[in-house]
Amino acid sequence: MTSPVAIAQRLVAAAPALRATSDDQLLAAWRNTLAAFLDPTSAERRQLDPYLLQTTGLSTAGLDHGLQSIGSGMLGEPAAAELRRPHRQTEDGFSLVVLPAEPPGLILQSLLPALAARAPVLFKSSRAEPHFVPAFLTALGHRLPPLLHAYAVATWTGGDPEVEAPLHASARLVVAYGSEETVSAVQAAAPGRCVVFGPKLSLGWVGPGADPERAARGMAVDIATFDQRGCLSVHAVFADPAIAGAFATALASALNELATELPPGRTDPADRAGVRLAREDADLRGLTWYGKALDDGTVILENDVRTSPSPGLRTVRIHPAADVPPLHEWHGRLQGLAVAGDLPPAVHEAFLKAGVSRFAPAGALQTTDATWRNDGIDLATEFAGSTNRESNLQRGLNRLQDRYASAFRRLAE
Amino acid sequence: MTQLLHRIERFIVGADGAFDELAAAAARFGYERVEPYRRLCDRRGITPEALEDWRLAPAVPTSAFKSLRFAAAEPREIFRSSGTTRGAERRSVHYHPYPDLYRTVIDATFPAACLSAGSGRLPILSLIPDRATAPDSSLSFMAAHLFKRHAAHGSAWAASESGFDLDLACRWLRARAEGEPVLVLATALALVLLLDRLEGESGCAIRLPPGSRVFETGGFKGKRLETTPEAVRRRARTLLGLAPDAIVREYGMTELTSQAYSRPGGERLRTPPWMPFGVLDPDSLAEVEEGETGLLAFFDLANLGSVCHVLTEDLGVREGSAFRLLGRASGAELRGCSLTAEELGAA
Repeated sequence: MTSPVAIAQRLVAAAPALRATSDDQLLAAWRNTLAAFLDPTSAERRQLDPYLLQTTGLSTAGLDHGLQSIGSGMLGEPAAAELRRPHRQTEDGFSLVVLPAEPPGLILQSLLPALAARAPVLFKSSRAEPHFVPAFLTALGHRLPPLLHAYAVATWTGGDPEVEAPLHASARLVVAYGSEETVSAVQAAAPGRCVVFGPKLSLGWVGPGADPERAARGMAVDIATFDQRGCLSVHAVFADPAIAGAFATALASALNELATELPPGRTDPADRAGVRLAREDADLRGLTWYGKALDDGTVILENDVRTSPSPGLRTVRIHPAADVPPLHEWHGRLQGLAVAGDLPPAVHEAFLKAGVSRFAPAGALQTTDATWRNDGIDLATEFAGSTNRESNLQRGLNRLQDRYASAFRRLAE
Repeated sequence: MTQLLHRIERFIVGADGAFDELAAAAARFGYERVEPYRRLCDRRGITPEALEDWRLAPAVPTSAFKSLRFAAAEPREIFRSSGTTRGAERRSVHYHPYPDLYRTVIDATFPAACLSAGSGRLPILSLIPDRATAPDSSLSFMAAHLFKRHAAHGSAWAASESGFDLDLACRWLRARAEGEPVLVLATALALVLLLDRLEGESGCAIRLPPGSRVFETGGFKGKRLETTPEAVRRRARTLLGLAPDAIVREYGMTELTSQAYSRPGGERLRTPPWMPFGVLDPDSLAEVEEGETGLLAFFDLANLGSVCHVLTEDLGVREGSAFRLLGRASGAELRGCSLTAEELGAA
């Protein structure tokens, strides 16, 4: 087996050929490949799905829905615009992207900007889900051969210093998804050359004016997609106290219906135990909760405005909240907000400050497109290199300065 | 109340009395004295009469200790969990009106589980903080009591507000490589840190005197270390020169008063006669077949002051009269788009 370090060296050599590919060539290869991977009847998917179903534990419908959510927004014009952006990696070199075990297809969010920047990348695929990434890269490379040599995947035990130390030392950029420990380790190993995405979750907001039934149908999709295991999965919902009860009832029905349309996948005792404990805890506290089979979904109508991560299996807590909820415990650990009804500016601002990088209508939170910047980070410029990174940083500072101009003036005085 | 408390104490020290009868009385006592528990029983249609069979007493999830007050009488000690979860950081609180009952439990179980027969006082090194450092830790309460009962001159505390004093711990252990057997009290995390330090020193291995014991409790407190409890114990045996039966595992928690112990060198955990356990199906909360995985529940008579029947977040499997720990229920960890293969337990 070729070592990851040797693979990385080959990627460096492939950089000139990658730079020579045109936008149109890239776009055609990207669209054709992605379309095949979003079509469950394609040859690629028919070959891949049995393995993906096994490794992800998702149901057949759940897998297809999840891949559609993560990929369909990357087919259209926003993806084309991304690929046509001017930022380019001008010197030779490779980047390392460490992918998490789930959700499947997450590579798309870093591959597209890497293609746009013509940046060769070594992807570290998880041993728990080692199928999607090599299948996608191979299919892409067959459509545009220079890519076959510029994008590669390897799998090794995370934390192995013999493998990782030389990679961290030589990579132009390290992008890592992982636990807080993984993220800290990467930051220490590649200071100033890394972009990290730690564990996050998403929340919902059902404000005044929301139709409880419609909000519930949308929110149920945002909860159930990827069986609530992605960072854009909704774990808890803050709801206008006037409609929180009606929304909870409607959400329970919607989740129950969705359990047929989008059946839950494989569960393990730890997940089932977590949901049971959440139901028992709710019972003891005298809370209203709804739920049938443990994996079909559980809706708990909370009386405490503080929230906590869901134990999974489509379990969600509804917290009555008319105003800005307490988010201080969640700063830096929130990813998205699914919104129904009115979102007051102060609430929007509070979620922004807490780190939410995606606001979307309920039902569309997990359907990202190429314009979404996870954590506000523009990966294409990061891949392109230090000059662009600095300009990106400068742009961010300028935006910040605009927003807080008056505060800055006061400080200056 | 005093009469029931004394009957339970007598049962603990000498198994004097019938467990079923005491357990039923304790369950009814909880119903009468602990308001959140009574409300739960009422909502489930469980009357005091039904509690004649203690098995029908609903088990309270440990998470409820974070938000509800279970106190059958005015507490004399208040224990708090160390708070291993992230996010909405809420700690379990155990209001304990009967600390003497806790001491009775420790005296009734610890020597038999952890000390060699006939051993008197012995040098103890504690990597568990003392009470001055952690006044609300039930484990520190236990360690303090163990020091009072069993510690010989020269025993030492090697944990403080600023963390573990590993220099002191290493010096202490090396100084006692020759002499009488010693006892080391440590959490699994502290043991890992101690072993890491020893490994980093020149001439790292120590050979502690034969008969020495290590009392190991708890997990890694939310830290994901690249190791397993089994691997830690293997390293401890190697680096401290311990006999295969030198490590005793303890299983306890803030929400319980009694503890389960392994046999020396063993993995499986056994509860004392006053704390039977169940392994429950998450779907039905019925007892699973032996060998199947389920949620661990304990009926701890010594928890008379709060609530006796406790449903933990731990998963386990029954093996005869003992159980084996298999992990935790989901819910405490934030993990979206961040799980690695190692964390998923992939081969």
